[in-house]
Amino acid sequence: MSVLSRLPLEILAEVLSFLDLYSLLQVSQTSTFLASICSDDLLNPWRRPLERILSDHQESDEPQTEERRILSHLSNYSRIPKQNWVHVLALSAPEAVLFMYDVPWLPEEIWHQAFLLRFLPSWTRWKRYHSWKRAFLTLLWRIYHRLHVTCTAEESWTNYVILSRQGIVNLNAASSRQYNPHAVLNEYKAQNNLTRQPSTTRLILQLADVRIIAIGTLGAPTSFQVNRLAKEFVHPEGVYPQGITPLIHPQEEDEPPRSATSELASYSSTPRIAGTPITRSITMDATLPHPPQYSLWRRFRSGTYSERQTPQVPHYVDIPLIVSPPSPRKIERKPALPKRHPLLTRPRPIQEHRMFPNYTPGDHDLRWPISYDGTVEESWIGPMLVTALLVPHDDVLSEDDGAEEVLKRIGAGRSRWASFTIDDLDAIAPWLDNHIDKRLEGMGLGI
Amino acid sequence: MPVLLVTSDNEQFRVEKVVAQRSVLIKNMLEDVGESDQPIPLPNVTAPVLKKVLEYCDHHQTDPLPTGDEPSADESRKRTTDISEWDQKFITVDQEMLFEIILAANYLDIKPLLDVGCKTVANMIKGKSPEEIRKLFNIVNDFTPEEEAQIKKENEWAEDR
Repeated sequence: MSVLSRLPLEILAEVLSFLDLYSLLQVSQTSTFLASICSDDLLNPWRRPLERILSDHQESDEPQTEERRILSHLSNYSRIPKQNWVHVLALSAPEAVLFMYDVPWLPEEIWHQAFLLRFLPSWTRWKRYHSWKRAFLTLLWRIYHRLHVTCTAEESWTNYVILSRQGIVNLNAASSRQYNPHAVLNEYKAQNNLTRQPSTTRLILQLADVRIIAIGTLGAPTSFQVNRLAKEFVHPEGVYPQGITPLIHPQEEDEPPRSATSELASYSSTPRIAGTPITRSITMDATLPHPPQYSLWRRFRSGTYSERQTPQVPHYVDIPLIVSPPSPRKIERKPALPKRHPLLTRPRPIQEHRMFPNYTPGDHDLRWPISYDGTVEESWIGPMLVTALLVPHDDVLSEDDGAEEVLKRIGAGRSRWASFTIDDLDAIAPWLDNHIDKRLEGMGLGI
Repeated sequence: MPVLLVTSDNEQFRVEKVVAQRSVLIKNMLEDVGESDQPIPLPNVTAPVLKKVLEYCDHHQTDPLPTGDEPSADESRKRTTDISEWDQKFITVDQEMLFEIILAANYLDIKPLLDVGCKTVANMIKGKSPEEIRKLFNIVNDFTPEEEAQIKKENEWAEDR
């Protein structure tokens, strides 16, 4: 009797799941006992080796490895449970599914699941009355086509989403041939008097075929144009890069708004004098006024003309002034409380963003600037544009590419912009629901 | 405070609580009984195996305990069959003992040790042909001629290079 058969089936399946695809295939051809474990739907030791290969972004022009060759002919093997095709379809490059794999007959449910894992929810509009298989393959073909040819014939209008500082989400559209998100945002910025502020682009998330990109404006956190919706979208509450816990301070409601270009909050070094009565002054200067005789102030305080004839000392002068020592307003800063959000599973992010909306360790989660150390206090101000960009399967951004290169590559591919709708926003950022006041199609015209 | 563990062959091991608590099973038992001198019976583990397991627990006593709420970290751990140098030396044992350690790690719920054991077996299998795997683990080829023919047919594409 084999020593392997002494192990419980679950542990044996665990051992097999550590193998590469080639070795696992050899094991499945060793004995009926091992073959039965390999073909078991529940134990399914194939899942991890397959996911490992599929999450490696092999360059399309690289020679195929033995494992990838097996992947192309997966349908030949009867001991691989069909459910594995969900991940193979959802994670493979479009050209691999379209031209390389021997895709067997699969139940409609597997195509449906693969569709939901791979594509943005709003893309279900392409299904119409067809089967999920047809919808899936049609979309893959469209993606492949648009990545290789400058063609927008099948998607004449590109939807994009604007997150406004009033908590409103607008769904807008632009002609795909003319669409340039930076130009669109510049229009919005002009309306918000932010033309002089440079735009900042952030990669929020990458799926198998698209990057979700946010373009907005960074400014002082004390600006009256702070866009909390944008902040929550890019940096969900309690999510910080690994090892960084910034000090935060509670929002002060009585803090006067400042201009968008103002620097960090600065506090007057002039001591305030407590105990003085409030004067009808439009300034914050509460020092003892010395009004000229017959001034408006005097008249207001004095009341009658006769009184005005004899200069009088206002009543409050008799009250002893308590002068407090100079003390700038204290802000108690506390370490932020990290929070774990439920992981995004449909659509499924690429391996490099697997923890989304939480921070994914590594060099690929670019929602924070490379130099972020928890002390930078810049905030998103004014409107933010959220859009989607089709990307080749092997194109993954990382910090190593350098900030300039990252920005350049994010904006590359003018004909590759894809529609991104409010449904998609709700799917990838469900935590925003609490922060959105209205969802509008179009500009809203002030409604 | 030391903990007294009793193996299936009635041998007693007195170990530090922090070492014993690498096992989730023992940790839960200790939490259930509270402060007590009562020996903890481990009927599924023999003395030689427990000695080996305790050696692992002692070496890794300061490692952070794996948490169940980090599926992605767990996934990334499972993506590789890399084993640390000390663990490799530790797990260099005969096949019989290796499987006993895996079974004990599973019973005592010591996930990192279970992973080391599983990875070691996987590394033994990697790159081997079915015939070599059969020889390694003393497996009998019990496929029928029809099944053999089917396997050959499935691999036909590989010959077409």
